[in-house]
Amino acid sequence: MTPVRAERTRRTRRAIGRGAVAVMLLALAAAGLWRAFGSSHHPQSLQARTYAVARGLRCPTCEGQSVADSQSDLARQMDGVIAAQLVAGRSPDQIHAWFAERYGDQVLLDPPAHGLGLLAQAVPIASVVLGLTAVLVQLRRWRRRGRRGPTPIPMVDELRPVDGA
Amino acid sequence: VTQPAPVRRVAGVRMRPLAWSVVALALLAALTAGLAGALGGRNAADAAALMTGRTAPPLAGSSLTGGRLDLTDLRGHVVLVNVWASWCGPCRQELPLLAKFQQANRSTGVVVLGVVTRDSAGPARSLLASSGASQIRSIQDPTGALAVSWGATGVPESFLVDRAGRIRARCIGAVSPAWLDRNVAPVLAAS
Repeated sequence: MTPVRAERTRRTRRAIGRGAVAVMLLALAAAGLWRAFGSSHHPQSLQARTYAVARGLRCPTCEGQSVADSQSDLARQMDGVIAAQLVAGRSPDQIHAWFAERYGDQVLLDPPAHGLGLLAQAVPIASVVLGLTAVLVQLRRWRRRGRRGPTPIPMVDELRPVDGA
Repeated sequence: VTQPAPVRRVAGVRMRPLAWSVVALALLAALTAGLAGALGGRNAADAAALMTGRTAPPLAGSSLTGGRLDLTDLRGHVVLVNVWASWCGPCRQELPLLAKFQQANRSTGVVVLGVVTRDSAGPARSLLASSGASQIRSIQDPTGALAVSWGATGVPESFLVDRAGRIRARCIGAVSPAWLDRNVAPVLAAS
């Protein structure tokens, strides 16, 4: 085999190897996407679909547990109702609304965006935005001070002698 | 020589940056606590009022004696729907009171309708007999699905349904003679 031909063969092998790796990575990515979105949005078994709906409901007699996580009698009853409604062809949103009618909006772990629910969602976001703004403003001040050199000593009221002191 | 921190004057009040931060944090904490209380603490206070004023959900099924019972067949009566079970201690104490209440108000069209939840017919019938409450008719709810469809959170729990089929009062836990007096009389008077 001539050196030129040998070099071509090496290049071809490298290209095939790279192509195979790329195909494998693409296949893995596609499988991951299918598992993340395809399978969770359309769970196969009734048990998995019931669990998915129950995860969005707060157990009314528990402290901070979802119906899916709770082992209470009421949570098991609710599981049975969820399964029966799924078999009857109702959607997860319809089932959540059905429970909210009977146990109030607080039964929903993701409360609707109105009234107190909206406030509860808005306050953390507003706090983060305000906090970031404050940090940015402070950083800009420090930068300006750094360019101008040391800050002069401020003349403030406290430094003046108090009359009669 | 240490220099004093810069002081700001806002609305006549001198505030240092640190003080501003403390005030802001305190306000945020108060707001968060208020929200948590408003969203999480409503359960107990509002649960009793949640179903009140609404049309009673469907309630039908097999009775303990084998027949079929349906709340809609009792339209025109004032119905006290009572969710109970033979394994529930407070229910055992409540049943004799409910039996007496139904007996005393029979002439005014008041009916007690039981929902035996997550229980077997045998023990439920035995308890009714031993409590002198055999005249209380009950629908079997072995899975608890009927109780959930009424928004019940446990046993015993009672719902007072007026003659038009609307829920007028709800009692979480065992009813007392005072609760019955306070709630049944206005419903009877209104209908």
